[in-house]
Amino acid sequence: MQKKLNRKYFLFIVPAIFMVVAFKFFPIGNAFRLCLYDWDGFSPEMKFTGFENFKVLVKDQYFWKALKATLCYAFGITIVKNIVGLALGLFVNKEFKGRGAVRAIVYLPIMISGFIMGQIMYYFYQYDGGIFNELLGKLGIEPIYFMQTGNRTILVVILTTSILHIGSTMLTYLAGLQRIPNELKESCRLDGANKWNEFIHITLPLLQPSIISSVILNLIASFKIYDIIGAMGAGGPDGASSSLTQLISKYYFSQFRAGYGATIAFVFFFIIVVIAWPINKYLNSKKVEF
Amino acid sequence: MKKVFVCLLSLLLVFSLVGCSGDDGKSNNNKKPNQEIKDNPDANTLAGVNLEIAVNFTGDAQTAFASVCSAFENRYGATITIDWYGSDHATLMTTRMAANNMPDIYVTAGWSIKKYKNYSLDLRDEPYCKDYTDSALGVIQDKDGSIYVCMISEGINGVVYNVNVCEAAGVDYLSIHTWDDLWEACEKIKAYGITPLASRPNAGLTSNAVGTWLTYDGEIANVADKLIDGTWNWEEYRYVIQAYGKAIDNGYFFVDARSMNEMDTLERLAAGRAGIIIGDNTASVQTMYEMNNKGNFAIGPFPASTEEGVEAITVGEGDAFAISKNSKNIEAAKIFLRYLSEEEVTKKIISATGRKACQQPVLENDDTDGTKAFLRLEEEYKDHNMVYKNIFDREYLPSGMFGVLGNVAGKIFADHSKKGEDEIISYLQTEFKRLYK
Repeated sequence: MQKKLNRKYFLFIVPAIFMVVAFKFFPIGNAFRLCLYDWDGFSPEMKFTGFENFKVLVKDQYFWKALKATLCYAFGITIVKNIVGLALGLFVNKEFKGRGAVRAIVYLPIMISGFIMGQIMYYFYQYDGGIFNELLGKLGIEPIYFMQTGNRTILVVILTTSILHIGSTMLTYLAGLQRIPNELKESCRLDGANKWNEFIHITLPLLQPSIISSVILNLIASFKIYDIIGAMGAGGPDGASSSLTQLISKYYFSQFRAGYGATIAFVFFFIIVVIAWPINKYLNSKKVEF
Repeated sequence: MKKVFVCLLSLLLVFSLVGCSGDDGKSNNNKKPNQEIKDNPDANTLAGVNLEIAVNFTGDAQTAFASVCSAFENRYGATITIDWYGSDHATLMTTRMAANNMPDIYVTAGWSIKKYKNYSLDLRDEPYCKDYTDSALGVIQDKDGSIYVCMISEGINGVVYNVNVCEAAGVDYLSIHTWDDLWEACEKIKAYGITPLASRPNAGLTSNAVGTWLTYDGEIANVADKLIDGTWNWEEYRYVIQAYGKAIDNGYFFVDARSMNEMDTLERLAAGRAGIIIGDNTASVQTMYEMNNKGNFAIGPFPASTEEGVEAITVGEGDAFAISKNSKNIEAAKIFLRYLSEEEVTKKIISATGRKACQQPVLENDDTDGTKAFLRLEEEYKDHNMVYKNIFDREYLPSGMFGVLGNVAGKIFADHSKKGEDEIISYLQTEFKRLYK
């Protein structure tokens, strides 16, 4: 009887299993197959080269530059968004006039496409005639070439992306803050705790579920950053601010090296797993039940 | 109040969704046959046919192409679904090629032979093929005589000048014969107080412009044979790196050249904030006239590298359309391409894309800006030792090298010291060897 019941339940998860296999495992398997070929992405002929693409990848300076930039984007954006997002969440959790408007304004940029936002911000950061440099000029300050080096460009992209997506992080924290029972805060205050102690000992530990989801989701999304970089200088100078997703697209579609592009994608997938998994484990171990 | 606001917002959303779903690329599905269709002998072939066409047009070119497609529908009674792929055209077409799911007709965007020929129908017997100019045939005719596209315009690449700036700085751009003359002109423009070059690091500098250093008789080097047989070691490319390196050190480029985009380049030349762009085309000339209709812009050839060398204009595919070999509507697609090559239709499209006509009858009667820029070039440079050549990478390099040379431009701007130069040569050797295989 129990076996029959289990079989019936199993039928319910068949569609989900099918979806996971068709849309996750199959593409990953196919990407690995492509890694073993020298293929231009469109010809019927594919030349089997074994692990040659992996050997090329180790020596590819653009891969290492893009990996460095991608790690900077992933951790930089995650840190900025979570710190500022939490601060904004705490701010809009307070009762004040115009709170709804503030929430809407902070959330608004998320509705603009990353590419458009990148284009807009490009005209802010531009060295020659950019809005920031125009303002600096009015103050008698020499113009700054914000995108002169790879590191500066990375910083500019981190700030721009963080501003664009801060709204979603703010909402995640706001939802978490509103779940914290008031009684706990009140009893803390009755015990003589000040605002800071209340935040450190009550708010922060109880926000752990929000922190976990926000950190992991932001980290993975930031690893995959693509459109803003394209709009703000296409990964220059000399690939120093290019992300791995951009590099994959460039090799796969512009340089007709689909096999090699797939190799980077495959390696990139494992990099994300290797980084995101332990962080997720660690944050889960800090979870507090209430 | 809140409820009213929510209702209004919902209505706005619904209407915007309806608006979005309205344009699926099909422009004329349920029209009743009009007199023009009834009178047209080809209308039977096209009755009930829906042609799918993938194009990369945006802006004015998109509007012009939509309009000619709509006129085609009215004339023949067929329907057309247009895939507006824009800047993603190459990417999406690559995906469709890999899936063997090609549209009936597609823009080949410069790659009719190297990339698309296995998928495209040979059109050499079509009537418009006899009208191609020699320069057009040089670009689209395969070694066995096959022609895979109906091309209505060519891309003409060279050096673009803001004539007003040049004159004000005391530069006669027509007297520029060698690269040294060009650098001298840059020095004069700089002395006049204007940044000489509006170029940015891209393959226009390091691929399109390098033929006169490396591949023609009388130039500082001629490695054409070695390039074609894959034995070149790229040592002579140092001339290119050193020339641009010196130009960078001399302050001929904008300080922010490394992060400029294409529009910055054109805007600065159009506004008279620079004098020259190396490696641009007639379409850019047209765009600059749109930005500044009081300007005076001309295109000239890439300079020679020695006094005895030749100046070169490079010619590439312009607006070119191929038919998929596997299309179920081959006859209808052929009729569409014949329609595109009609003089009025061609002129309508190229007046929007700014490219130069490439079919003799159209060329003779064309007054679009792209063609005008080309005719001005022909007239002004008739006494120069000038040749028309295929675009450098399409003639001499394996697929993928154009991107590599784009990277090289970035590298030159980042580091053109002796060490940087050696690294670039080594990078070029490795990539050329790999891609040549």
